[in-house]
Amino acid sequence: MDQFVSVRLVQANGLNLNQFQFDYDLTFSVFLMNADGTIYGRYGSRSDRRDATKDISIEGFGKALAAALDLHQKYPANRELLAGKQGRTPRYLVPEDYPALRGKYTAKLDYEGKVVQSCIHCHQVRDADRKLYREARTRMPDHVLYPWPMPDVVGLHFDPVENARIGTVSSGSRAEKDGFRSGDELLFLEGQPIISTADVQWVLHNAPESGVLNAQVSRAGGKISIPITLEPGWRRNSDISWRVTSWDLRRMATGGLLLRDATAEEKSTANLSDEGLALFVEHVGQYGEHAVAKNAGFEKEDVIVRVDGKTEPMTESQLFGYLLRGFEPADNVPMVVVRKGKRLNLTLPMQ
Amino acid sequence: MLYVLRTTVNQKNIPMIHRLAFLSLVSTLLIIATRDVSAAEDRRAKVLNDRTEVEAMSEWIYNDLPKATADAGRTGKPLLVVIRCIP
Repeated sequence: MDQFVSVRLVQANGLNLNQFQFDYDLTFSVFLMNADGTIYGRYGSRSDRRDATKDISIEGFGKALAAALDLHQKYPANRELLAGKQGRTPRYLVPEDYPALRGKYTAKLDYEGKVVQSCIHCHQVRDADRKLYREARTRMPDHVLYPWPMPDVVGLHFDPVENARIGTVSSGSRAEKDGFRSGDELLFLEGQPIISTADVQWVLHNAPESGVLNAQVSRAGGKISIPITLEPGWRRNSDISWRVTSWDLRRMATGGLLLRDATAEEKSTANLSDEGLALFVEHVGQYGEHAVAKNAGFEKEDVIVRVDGKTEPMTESQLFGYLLRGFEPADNVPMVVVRKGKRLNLTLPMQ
Repeated sequence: MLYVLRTTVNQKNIPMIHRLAFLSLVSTLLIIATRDVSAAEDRRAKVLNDRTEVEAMSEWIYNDLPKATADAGRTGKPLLVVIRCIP
């Protein structure tokens, strides 16, 4: 650690969004950088609602620090390799310039006054960004709805105690067909040196809606190139239910309903087949715009079995995408729920 | 809050049963308000303590990226920037 100049930032106020592009749903995120702004790598990943540390570890963090030091020693000869780690210019250069935040916050925390209330939380950047699309009634792109995909979405599961070593490859996945194997060490992706899972996510986050990424992998002492094939709609299998920003998606798309896949027992109780849509209502919002589903007649423990005439299985995350892509605020979506064995037709207004 | 309730409700016009309900409501609101104030104070104290505690550790620069960048430029060391909410 003493080989770095270490700084802790505690708020998003005044944060240079051109420089610091990361997964804004995280409460712990790391940049390893040169003083001139060149980024060596990122660290910090999450994919689980309850377990915030499932995808990170002290060992993995230590290895990312060591890899960053190695890149620093080779700098500036490796400057071109690192260029892709810098993001595209964002629409707003600091969070407080977003229309949803403008006038409510300043560039600094108000330590002398209401310091807690003066803080812009990182997730508010994503909330503010999504509001731009929704309020303009323009289609929310997949990379906005499903940000910072974990590599799991293409079938690659990285070992959290390593830099970017593949722990397992999902059987039958696109990554398996592409040729990845357990134990492969991802060295470069799209030409960028990879020092963490967050670095992989960075490339995936900026990847096209379909196409092929070029990976360089260390296997059995040698180096080989393997493609990562991204099929159309590849991001939509991401689980975004853990994200704090999904709270606002629940307001927009499900009127305040918190949903999860119904268990086999719940399906059996409701006389539902295993194949169809079955989303269990875990919570119904009670206030304001989060009470729209409640006011439409939805109740806790309902099971949603039909949405807009569709009965194909969907996760809550996929339902967000379906509703936000297909419907605008004030549209009404017909749904069917099963409640205590009876089917009920309900209509859910979009926001 | 008590002031607002007293100035918006004429207690002489309230029957005894309603007065009891009124007192119960006032008590409940006072408890909630006190709890909210207490929670807000806790949060404020956490934020202020966090700054004090991290600044006491000489190896960390607290919330001052320009200073960290200048130090990194001067020493030739790389930057470790941790973006972390106050727990």
